Amino acid sequence: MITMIKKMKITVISKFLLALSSIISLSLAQTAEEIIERVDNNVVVKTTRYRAKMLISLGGKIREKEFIGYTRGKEYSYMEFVSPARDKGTRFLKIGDEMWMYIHAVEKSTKIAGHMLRQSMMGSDFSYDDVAENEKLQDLYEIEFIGIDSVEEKECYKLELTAKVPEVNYFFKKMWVDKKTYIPVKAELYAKSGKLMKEINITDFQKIGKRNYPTKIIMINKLRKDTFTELILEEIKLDIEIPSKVFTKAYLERK
Amino acid sequence: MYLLKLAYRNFFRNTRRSIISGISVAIAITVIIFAQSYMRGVIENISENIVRLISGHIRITTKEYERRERMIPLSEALDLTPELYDELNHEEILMVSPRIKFGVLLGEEELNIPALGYAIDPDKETHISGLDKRIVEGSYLDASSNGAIIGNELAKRLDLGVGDTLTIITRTAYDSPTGINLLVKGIFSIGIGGMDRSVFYIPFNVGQKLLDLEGRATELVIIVKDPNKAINIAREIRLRGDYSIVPFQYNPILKYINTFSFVYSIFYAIILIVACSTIANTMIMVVFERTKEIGMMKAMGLNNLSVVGLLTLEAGIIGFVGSSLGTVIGGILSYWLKYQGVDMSMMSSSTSADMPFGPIIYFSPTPMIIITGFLFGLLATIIVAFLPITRITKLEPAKALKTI
Amino acid sequence: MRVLNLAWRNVFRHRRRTIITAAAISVGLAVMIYMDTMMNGLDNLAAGNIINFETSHLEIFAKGYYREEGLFPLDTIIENPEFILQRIAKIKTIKGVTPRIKFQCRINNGIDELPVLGIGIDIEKESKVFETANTVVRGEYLKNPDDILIGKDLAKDMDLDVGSFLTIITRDRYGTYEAYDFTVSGLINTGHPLLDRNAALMHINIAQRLLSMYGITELCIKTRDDNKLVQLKNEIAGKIGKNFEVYTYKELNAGIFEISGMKRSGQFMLALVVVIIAAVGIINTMLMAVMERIPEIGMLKAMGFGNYNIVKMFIYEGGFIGIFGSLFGCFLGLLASFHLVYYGLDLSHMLENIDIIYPIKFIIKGEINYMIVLGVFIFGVVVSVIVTLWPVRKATKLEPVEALRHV
Repeated sequence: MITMIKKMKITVISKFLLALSSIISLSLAQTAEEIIERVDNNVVVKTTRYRAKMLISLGGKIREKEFIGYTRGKEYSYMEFVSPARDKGTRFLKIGDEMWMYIHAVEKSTKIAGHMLRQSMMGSDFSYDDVAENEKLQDLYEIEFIGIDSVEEKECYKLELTAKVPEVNYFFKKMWVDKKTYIPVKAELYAKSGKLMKEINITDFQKIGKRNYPTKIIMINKLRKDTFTELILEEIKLDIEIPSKVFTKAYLERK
Repeated sequence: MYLLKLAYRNFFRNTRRSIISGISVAIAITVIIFAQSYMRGVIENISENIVRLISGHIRITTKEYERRERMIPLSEALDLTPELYDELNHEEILMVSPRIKFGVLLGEEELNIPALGYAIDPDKETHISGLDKRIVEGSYLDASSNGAIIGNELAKRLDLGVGDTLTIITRTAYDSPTGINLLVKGIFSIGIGGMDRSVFYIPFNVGQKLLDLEGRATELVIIVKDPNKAINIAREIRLRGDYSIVPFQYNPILKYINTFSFVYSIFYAIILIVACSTIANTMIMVVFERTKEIGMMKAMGLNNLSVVGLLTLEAGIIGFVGSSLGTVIGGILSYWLKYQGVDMSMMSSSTSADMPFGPIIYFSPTPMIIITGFLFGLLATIIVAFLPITRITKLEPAKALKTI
Repeated sequence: MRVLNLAWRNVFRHRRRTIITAAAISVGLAVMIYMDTMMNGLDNLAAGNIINFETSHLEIFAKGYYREEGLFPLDTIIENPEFILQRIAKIKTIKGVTPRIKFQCRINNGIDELPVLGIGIDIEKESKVFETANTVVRGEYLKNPDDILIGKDLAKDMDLDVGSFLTIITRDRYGTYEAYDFTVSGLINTGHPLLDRNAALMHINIAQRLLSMYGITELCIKTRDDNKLVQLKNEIAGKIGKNFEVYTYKELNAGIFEISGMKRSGQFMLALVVVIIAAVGIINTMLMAVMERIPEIGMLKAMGFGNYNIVKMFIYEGGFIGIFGSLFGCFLGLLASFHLVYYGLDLSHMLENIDIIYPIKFIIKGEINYMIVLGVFIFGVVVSVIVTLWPVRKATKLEPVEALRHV
């Protein structure tokens, strides 16, 4: 008799646990999207203005460049290089998924189109279309929550992103989002074959208002020794007034 | 001597036949001399173009640059150090001129016209390429201004004239975007299609700045006192570092052409053989025709050797006449075309920048060509006729007399 | 009929004269055939590299592909090659068809990256069209799916050898990055700089997988008849329609073929000269042969033969001698040509002393053009007949007595 009751209890408990876990996993499944949303909330700002230092290492040879940038949402972006002297005055304008380049000595802008988009930007490991990628991750990828993982002693949500349309740069990505700050501290970019191509680490951030904004981003080429690009953002101003004219070709070509 | 006189008179026994036989040889020798002069002219033309426009007498690049030359790798440029110039201080070297070769895409709206740019030292280059004499509109480059000179066909494709702006947008040796607006100072016409269609020149320091190659160059072009010594001089140059030092004689295009001209020698030999066979044929017929006569001569005491000698001399005279005629005609034609030159620019309009051919080919006959032409004609005739003559004249006099 | 009979017997009666005359014809014709065979061989040598490794005789692309020359776009591709293969299956002059995929990629050995041209090949069909398989100097041809072939020079540049691993980095037709590991199965040495220094060959289906495509960039076609390329091109174009473009190798490599253009006219001149000299030789001999028989004409006339018959007889004789001479000449010419075709003329040692960057084996392998052989034969006969005709007609106008006295 007692055994029967025990058995019933066990069945009830297990059923309850089962129900509970499905509710939890349901909420967790949503969490993947949610996590991305919260990451976006950090990074996607109405407007930003910043000064950046770019360190490019190609097979061990290191070069340093400095530029000023303005962004509005994810649609508009403007960059102007200020150093070294030979790059001074080189500007880029991105509107949507189109990009233009302006070289000071030429006094004319050129649209970066077609196969040019695949060329490397300023000699770094980023190609123009890497930078110009404009669509939401959720639209391009199926995002799956894998679990909790720790990166540099920080607890992170581990996500896996698999392309759901063919027109993506990287077929498969892994992202580690810091639980506390919702900053994607590490990302791994994979080729179709499953080979790891690039690793992106965000090693520094700054608290501005309610946001955690990344300030040091390192992109490592995993296929080539001593090849990486480091981006350090300084003098960051968020949500400031930026006149619309900044994001026009006229401004790009101004003297 | 008596034989010679006899042979000479025998020539006129059937002048028409003798002449016709000689004509084959004449044609062959004319052609051989003409073709050789042409080939030599072509090789000289291409050599000159290579020296002037591509490599000078000796060309120096880094080894890595040469390996990847197809891709025009700016990053493999060499450093222009004082040590390098010191090491090139050879008594036979007249001038060392640096150049930067770079590939760009030009275009007004879209960057879709591939072109080849050379950043050159304008003063030194006047002694190397003589570009200043090829300007058809406007003026030549000068080192101090931001000007460019472009080929006339390229100018047409870009719709640019003197005074217009040439916009260059490209990448530096370190992959940074770079660009410049240059004034079109002049338009040139070299006469070589490929170059007029896709090449332009800018001052050296402008190129260095544009491509982030300050203190560097992609190649050094060297002019020596005696071009024939270029190979030896190239061997004597000792440079510290991994360099490729190539005298123009080793330029792949030149070697390719040289090889082909060698093959043509085989053709000449064949033509000569055919020509000579006609004379041999004639002699054979002659011998049979004159069998009775030969029999009689032998009966009169003339020995085999003399008979053979006579007939051979006859063949020789025909050969001599034919060869002389051929030599004279071939020689006159060739020397005339040496001074006149042949304008090949029609063909040249489709050549690529890799094949510097034209525009005017000057035939290049040499006394050597003329003399060997003549001698070969003469000798070949005698040799080719000799064998059948000896065979046939071994007839017994009696037998010979019996033939009708 | 009587005249024909007489002519025939005359020919054999004056055997020596016949033989000598025929010999003149033979030598001339034999040389013409041999020259033509050699010139074809020379042409093939120059074009050889391109035909044997790069484009073969003809290439078919999707419409618009070739305009982007040098860029190897993956959006204008041949989506279903089977359509084309079906349509051209019946064309007999096609010796082989093979598909290829060409794409831009980078070869990465962990330390350096070099841009190269990736070429996906179908190893079975490839052997009917290209010579690549015969140029493997180390290791083996492609076997396993992950095998890759690179040029000996490229291997040296990148410190790779048979058995090395390398990564090919590229972007598929949608722009997605792909990085795939291969093992070097063999090194090739073709003498063609593109393949030896700047290309990597792999299985076509692997290339398709890398590039996320089912189609191919081009079909390469080898024909039996090198001279009729333009006709073949038009024939194929007609059968496959407006969505595709067909090019001959000459159109695809215009730069190199100016040299050929120059050579062609030079060769034509040379050939013309040989023709003239051969003709002169025939004329010479036949003329002599006929001239010495003019007294005979006088005799025949005196015997009552009409002019018409005399001329006819000589024409027949000229014809017979022409035929014998031409036959023998063609035989000799073909004999020498076969030697050239199967053994070739090896001039490689001429190039040994010079330090060439690209080692090319220099063997001229002839190619016989049977149409030319036929033409040469006809030429020999025709010239013989014409040459006989002219003096004979003149001679028949003479009085018999004059003819008899003719020397």
